[in-house]
Amino acid sequence: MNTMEEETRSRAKTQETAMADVKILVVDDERNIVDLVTAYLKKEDYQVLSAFDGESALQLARQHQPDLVILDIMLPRMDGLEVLSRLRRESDAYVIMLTAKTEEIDRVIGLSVGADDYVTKPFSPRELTARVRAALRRLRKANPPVDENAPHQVLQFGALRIDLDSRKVFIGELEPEFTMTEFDLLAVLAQNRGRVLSREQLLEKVWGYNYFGETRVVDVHVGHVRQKIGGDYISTVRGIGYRFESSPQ
Amino acid sequence: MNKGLSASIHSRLFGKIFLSFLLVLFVWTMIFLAVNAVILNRSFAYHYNRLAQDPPQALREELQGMMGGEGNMMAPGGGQRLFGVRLLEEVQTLFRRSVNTAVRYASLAAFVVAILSSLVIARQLVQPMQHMSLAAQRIAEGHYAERVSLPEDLPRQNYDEWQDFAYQFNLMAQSLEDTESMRRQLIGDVAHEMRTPLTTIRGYMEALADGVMPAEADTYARIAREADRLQHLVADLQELSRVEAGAVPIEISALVPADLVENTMARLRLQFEEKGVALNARLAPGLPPVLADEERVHQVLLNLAQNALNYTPAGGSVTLSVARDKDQVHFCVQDSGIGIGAEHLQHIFTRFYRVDRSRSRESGGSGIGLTISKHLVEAMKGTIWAESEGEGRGAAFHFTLPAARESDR
Repeated sequence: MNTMEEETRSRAKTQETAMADVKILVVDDERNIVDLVTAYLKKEDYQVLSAFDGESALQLARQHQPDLVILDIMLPRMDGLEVLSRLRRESDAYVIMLTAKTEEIDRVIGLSVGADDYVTKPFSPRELTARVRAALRRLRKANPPVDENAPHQVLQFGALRIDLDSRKVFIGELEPEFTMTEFDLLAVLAQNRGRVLSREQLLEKVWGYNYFGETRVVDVHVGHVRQKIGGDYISTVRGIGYRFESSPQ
Repeated sequence: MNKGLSASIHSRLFGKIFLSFLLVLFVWTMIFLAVNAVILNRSFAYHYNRLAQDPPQALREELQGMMGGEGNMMAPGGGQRLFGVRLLEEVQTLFRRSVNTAVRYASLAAFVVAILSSLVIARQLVQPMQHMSLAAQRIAEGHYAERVSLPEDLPRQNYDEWQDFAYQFNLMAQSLEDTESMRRQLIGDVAHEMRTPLTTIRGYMEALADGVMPAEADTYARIAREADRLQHLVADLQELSRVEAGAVPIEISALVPADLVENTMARLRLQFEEKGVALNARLAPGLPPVLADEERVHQVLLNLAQNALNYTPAGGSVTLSVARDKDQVHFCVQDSGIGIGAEHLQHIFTRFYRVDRSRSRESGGSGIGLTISKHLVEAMKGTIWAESEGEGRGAAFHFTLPAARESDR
């Protein structure tokens, strides 16, 4: 009993030190919302930075290289989408957009500089925190200490080559840029080639949650991946989800 | 009766229908004549041939008698014998038959053509009505962009009644479409305005429940402020719908401008002091009273001054000035604030219009105050407008109210 407790405590402690290294930037022009989100994230022991307009958000992001950014769309001076597209050029921080309208969602993740996830206002800070937690778990998984000498795990399908360890994708000689989310999505689909994965399964495997019931984000990101590797590899199974074709026509 | 008749004759539609009848009549006549002319000869030839091939006995005898000898023309017995009576009778019958046949065919042809042309004309007359009926049906189904097509090269004063009706119909459809899009826009705007306070209220409640935010006065005050914002929004919306419907009672009386300005300043002094913005008044000497509703003018002045305060940083100033302008009294609220770009000036009185959508959220405005002011000033027979030399150079809101004449005082 005692040892178990100690074990959990020590595990919590290592996690804590890991958490304190994580930097999150919260951007919203509404002070109340920034305070609210900050309070939740501080409670999880993340390091939180905040900005109230687009320009200072970009400046802070450049200075501190946050791992994750929570970004509102409607911002004074420079709007959230502009901030996002500039940020994407120099950083691959995980970006969660806060949107006021559901119609804006497509604009948000539909952009080629797409955000990784989005939350519509009025949102639940509890849910937002859960998403942050899930995203950070993935971030840690995405950068495991790699044994330099170990052979890379590579998946090859015709011209398409996916290097799972260096997280790189090649199409012949070309190497298109993949965001973390896009790469994870492609990797999960390719590792389960020939099998249909439902949108819920993909949400769980890629985003780390599936309890919010909204799967639109999956469709948009699959669209992005298709654009980058060509349309033949991933087929849509109507009413269910997606399947990676190991031998595309 | 007479008047009705002359109105009918002047009506373009009447003319069209009248001309249509004439046209059918004309077509009938022309076809009749043409067919008659063509057929009559043939008909004559036909009946002649039949007669020639098989003449009746009496005619044959008569003809034989005629052939008998020229000299016998005069009978020796003295009395004149009339030759050719039979022949004449036959020729008469022949002529009557030919004409009858020709008339029958010509009438039939003219009748058929008249029916066809009547059909075409009737269709022409009815078609615009059908188009309109279809369009009305489409609009009723919610397709507000539906219009009846009108001849583009025809000047409007030459429209007939149907075209005029169609034109008015299109105007109505346009106004319906505008109203519908304004309604949608309004709902979208209202939903947007409500979302921010709702997000805060909901989030803070959750945070209190989770113990993330401390349960102390400041937290509750924040929630209460957001609830206030919602309450203001609801009140403003109600007021907006009332002024837009013209349902606000206006009680006109003669008011002294100096009192109006003084009342407004008294109400706002504290707010201005808190923010550190100077509030001044400049009244021209010898101002006449204005004819207006005291409460409403007060509302407009408060709104404009508050608006000026919202957009003026600490250290700036706001000046209320009143001057006479012929038979009007001219009020002006001038600030040294952030100003308004020229492209925004014309929209500034449009409800929910914001120069910078996110900026005024912190100042708490709902974006309908100016719209309400505009409606109120106009209801009091005044005009309202805004001026600004550009961003960063302050803004001035002006409105006029009619001055009371000596007889009104």
